Amino acid sequence: MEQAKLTINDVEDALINLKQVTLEVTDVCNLRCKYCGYGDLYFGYDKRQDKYLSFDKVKTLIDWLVYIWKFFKTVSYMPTTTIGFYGGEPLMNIDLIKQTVEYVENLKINRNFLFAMTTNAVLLDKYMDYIAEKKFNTLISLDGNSEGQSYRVNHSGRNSFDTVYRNVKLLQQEHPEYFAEHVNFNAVLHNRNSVESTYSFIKNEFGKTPTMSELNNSNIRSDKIEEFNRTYRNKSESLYQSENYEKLAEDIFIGEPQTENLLLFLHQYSGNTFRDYNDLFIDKNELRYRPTGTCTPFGKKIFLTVNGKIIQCERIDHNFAVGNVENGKVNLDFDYIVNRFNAYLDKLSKQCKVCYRKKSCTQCMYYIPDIDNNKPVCHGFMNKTDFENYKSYCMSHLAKKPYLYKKLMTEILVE
Amino acid sequence: MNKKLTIYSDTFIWIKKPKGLIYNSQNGHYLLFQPTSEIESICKYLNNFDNLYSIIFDDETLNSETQKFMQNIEERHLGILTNVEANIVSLPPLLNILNAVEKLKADKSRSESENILKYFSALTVYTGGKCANTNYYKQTFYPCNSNEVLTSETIINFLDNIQSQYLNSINIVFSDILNYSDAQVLIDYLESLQIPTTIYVHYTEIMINNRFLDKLRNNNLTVKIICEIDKDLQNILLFCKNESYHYNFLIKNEEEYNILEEMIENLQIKKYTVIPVFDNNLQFFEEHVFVNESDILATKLSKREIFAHQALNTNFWGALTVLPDGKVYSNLHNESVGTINDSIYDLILNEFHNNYSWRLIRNQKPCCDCIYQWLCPSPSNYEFVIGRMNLCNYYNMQK
Repeated sequence: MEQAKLTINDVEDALINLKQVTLEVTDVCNLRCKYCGYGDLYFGYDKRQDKYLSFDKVKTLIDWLVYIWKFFKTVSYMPTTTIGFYGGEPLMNIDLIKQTVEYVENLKINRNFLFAMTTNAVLLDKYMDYIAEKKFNTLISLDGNSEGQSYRVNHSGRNSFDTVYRNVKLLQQEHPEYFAEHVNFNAVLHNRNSVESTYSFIKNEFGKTPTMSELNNSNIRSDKIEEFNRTYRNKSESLYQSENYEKLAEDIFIGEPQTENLLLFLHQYSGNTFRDYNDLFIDKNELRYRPTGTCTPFGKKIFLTVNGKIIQCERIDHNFAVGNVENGKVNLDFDYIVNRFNAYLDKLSKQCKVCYRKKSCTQCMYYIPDIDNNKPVCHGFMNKTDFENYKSYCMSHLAKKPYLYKKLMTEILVE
Repeated sequence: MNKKLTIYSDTFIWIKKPKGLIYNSQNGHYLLFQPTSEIESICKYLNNFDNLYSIIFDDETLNSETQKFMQNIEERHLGILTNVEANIVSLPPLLNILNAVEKLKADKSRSESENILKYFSALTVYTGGKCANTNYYKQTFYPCNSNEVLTSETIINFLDNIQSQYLNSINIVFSDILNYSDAQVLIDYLESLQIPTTIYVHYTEIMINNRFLDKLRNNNLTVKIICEIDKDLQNILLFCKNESYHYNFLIKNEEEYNILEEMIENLQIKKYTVIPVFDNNLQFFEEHVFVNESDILATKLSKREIFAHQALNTNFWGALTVLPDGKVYSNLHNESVGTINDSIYDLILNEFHNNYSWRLIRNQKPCCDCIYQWLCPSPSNYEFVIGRMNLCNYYNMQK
């Protein structure tokens, strides 16, 4: 079966039906988290220079998108696009956030807009009324209790816990309905917290189940590997070490790594899951497929950096920028985007051809460290034995918890 | 001795008393059985998703009928009998459409109108005009007799507004092509769309329009000639037969079929489809159109195809039809979903809200009481015209 290549049409489609615009409104942050993706541990991002994104750049990008949205028919009747604010700490550039929100709200276009933000909550007390009024979907970064939060320090090295805790409590008290509906938490796991302690703290204090992420393990500076290893905590291990593993695993449901893997496995291999009604007419074995876990450029979002670079996602190296906003113009060369994407696919194609997971790959190629070399090595590659092990890992989890089958297949809503 | 029975993943178990059916969609093997109370309780246990299609039982405590049932399952490759320790995990068929309407409705952050344009894939336009007055157009492509006529301009405007890359089939059914003004303009426009398009014309019109229709050969369009079996047909086809045309022969009885067979032979017609039409000829339908139990079981259906029958109507899905008065239908036997002046999104959403046809499945009586409920083809126009929701001899014989 021939592999499907990315086409210009795919990129255009993604932009017409764009789900999220993420704006890095500033690279300034009022915290100096030890493990920050833009900090000492890592490379692969533009130098932090205390910059603030200008409204001109934001307006240029949005106007360009609006032109596309008005000109081409969208696949949804009233599509929803989320405008996400990202940093640095986005609240450090609240003026731009307000300007952008006002501008977007006044667009005469057949589209719903939602607003979202990831914040460290240090300035939440100042701006919470505005955030609640505009119903921002707010993701608060909080690593649990005071000990857990101790890597999240201010410029003087002081733990931000007291400030953050106070502000979040205030938000909860002042805007309880908004808090219940629109506020969520993300915690980074490290050697000073655990899945259990973080979950318990946030659940008890705020009634929320946090998402928990491990430290980013790509683009680590070579001289910082030891420090990284000291700080890193594996989510599964942390979970298994919990006193009440079973109860905790049940509470966090698909936050439990093995259950999350099982969900993916059931979606991809049970033959029972279909993206939409049209898929019921398609024999997947006859379909050409793209053997990568990399998103179609702009298939999920478009990311504008504080320096005006356009990247397909905020989670990847800034060197993978595909265009920019400069001098009042959006510079995106679709041919370049497609050719580069396909060139990376070609580099991996030898491995993909013999990979047992090629039809349901989850490996983002931008996370492959040597992707720019001639012969990059894919970490997601699975030979027959690897795949059988993966299958057995998922199925043995299901055998232990058979109730998960129906629950995962019927209760989980996936876009 | 304790044993474990595990049903294979692609296998369905259906019980509709007094019958039961286990059907392996991977190989088409099946087991028809009488669900005694013991067998029924085993099937119920297996159909509980939490049991992952496995049951442990003591062979010696089962009655002989149930023992035979268990053996039959293994012999017919529907499942496997093992010792209780065997580490087999099976995933019972459980349809999960991630973006199903019900799921979108249940999710506050989503909208049921998400991605709906991609579901609309086929458009049929009846231009209208004067022609034979029958209701055959409600069964198949056939000219629609009307005072109103949809002009080229109206049709082009409508298609311009649709502007969907997901539309992959257009059918234009002319009623009176001789008097249809600007037919060439419409044809040129349709060709420019680069969407596979079929032009339907009644055979009585091809004598006069042969030159015009012949020209269409140069275009990227298919011409289908709708033919009824009568005394003129052979002469007309003899005179105008064109190898590029496709012929849709409408038949009402065996006699017409026999005439047709001979004519096809005589005229060496290569491209044709035979389409039965209902016209108070129930017996002919019962004998030649209705399905029998053996037909159903002989048709191997994959799990995906069975799921499709459970979720949507494979005949009607994605299709909209415009009648000469400008009303748009998802099925001509129901209310319209709007008019050509409505946006395509509204038309599709109306169909989703009213569920006239796209998701019309065999979930009503009598089909919902039948073990072949999901193996049978989706309901079709014939059901509406005949006035009963099952086109089968099987269920009627059971009554």
